[in-house]
Amino acid sequence: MHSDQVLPRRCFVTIGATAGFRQLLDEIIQPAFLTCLAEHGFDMLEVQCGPDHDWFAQQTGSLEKEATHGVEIRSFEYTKDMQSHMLECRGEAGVRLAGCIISHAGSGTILEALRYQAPLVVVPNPTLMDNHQAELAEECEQQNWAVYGKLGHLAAAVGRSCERLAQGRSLSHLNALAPYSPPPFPVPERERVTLFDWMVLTCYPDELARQQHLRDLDAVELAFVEEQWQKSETETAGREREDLRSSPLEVD
Amino acid sequence: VPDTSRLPAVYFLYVLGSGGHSAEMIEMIKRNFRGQPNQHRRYVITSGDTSSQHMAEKLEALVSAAYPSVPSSPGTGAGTSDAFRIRRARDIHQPLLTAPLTCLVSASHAVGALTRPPAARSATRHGHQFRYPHVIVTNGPATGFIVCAVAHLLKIFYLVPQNRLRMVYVETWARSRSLSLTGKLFLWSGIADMFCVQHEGLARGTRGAEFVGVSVCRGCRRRVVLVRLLDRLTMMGWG
Repeated sequence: MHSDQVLPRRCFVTIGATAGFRQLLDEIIQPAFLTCLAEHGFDMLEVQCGPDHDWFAQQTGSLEKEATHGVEIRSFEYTKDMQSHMLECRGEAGVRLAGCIISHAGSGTILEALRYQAPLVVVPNPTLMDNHQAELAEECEQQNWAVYGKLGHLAAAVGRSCERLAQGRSLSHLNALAPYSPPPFPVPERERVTLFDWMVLTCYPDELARQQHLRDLDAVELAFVEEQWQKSETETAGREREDLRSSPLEVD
Repeated sequence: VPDTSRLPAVYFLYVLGSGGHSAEMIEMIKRNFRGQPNQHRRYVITSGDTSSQHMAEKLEALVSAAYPSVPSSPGTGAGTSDAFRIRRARDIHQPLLTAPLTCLVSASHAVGALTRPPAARSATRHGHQFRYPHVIVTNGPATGFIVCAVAHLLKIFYLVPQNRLRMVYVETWARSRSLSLTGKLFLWSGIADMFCVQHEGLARGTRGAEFVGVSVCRGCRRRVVLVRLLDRLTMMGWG
């Protein structure tokens, strides 16, 4: 691979499987938005349009070549394989840069995009009377999981998403992830959520008491081991200081 | 670490309501899952909801692949499962006048879902321990409230033993600042043994909330807890 080879960068827009979202579709083919994409190195815009697909195809068909600023535009109505479209926005070392998923504020879609670790912009649909979708988008922004994209300011939202990638040292790894592999099933015991099992145990009070006792013992044992470790650490540090004092000369 | 593998029976009843709720429910089940031969899983699905049915079937296929078992021998692999269909409480566009009637029909089906013993366990050694579910889990659809309300009535009239039908309500991840209608009903009626939310802001805002930010529940009394049942979102590395 040549060092100056430019990796592809994709933007994927999904409006969901239930309602239409023409306002969003309208904004992403405006020159302001397409210029923004081109400036950030995006070479493709793929759009899941839902019921407005025919209208969208018509609009993009009549776009002149210069108007797209070098961004290829593809669209379709629905897909049964959301995963592969979203994975095209996941940055993988030597394969592609981290792109951008622009999605409606459905919780299932948001969780899926985050699972693939692709940068995400969430756009609530104002025609739905769903107040909690806007709340969810705000929460995502506050928790730094995604960017809250407001209609009329989507280019800025994509810009913010790319900026975050460029700034944070911890985020640059999003450009060079390993190929996606789904989480294992069953979940490793250490990471398993045990809430339901504890609830079952409440039906057997003796067993519950016994296991709570064991768990508390574990906690005590863990605390004891930690304490011993701390003690040994301070002892070693003390000994090291003494060694230094006894030979004050060469310290390489 | 809770160990239920040596209990005579572990019977979960999962309510799969409408599509969005079902997908999240399936994820939660996967996060909690530990295949054991003493386990029975019953999926309650509203009649006509084929997508939830498919999701349940897919999950069971995944389970069978991960825990191979000897056919027709319920004491191996990851236990047994079945599905139970109940009528929707109210159809879309159905006039409210007839809603009480359809709710009653729905509730009567719910009784069946809660009390009909699993066929696969009837002739087995601990079959009588599988008579009623130990834990019912739901995350938001109205069907979930109907099932739990019926379960609550069965308990307060001592029609089922008191050490069964524990109810876990988990507010859907989509609700980050306010509870859904079903959530409010559960909180107000107080019938859930464990009431969980998945966002910190919501846990702070809900009356009587206490943080249990990790996955283990301590002593399961009635209160509101914050749990992270779904993806660990900090893996994104943002902020």
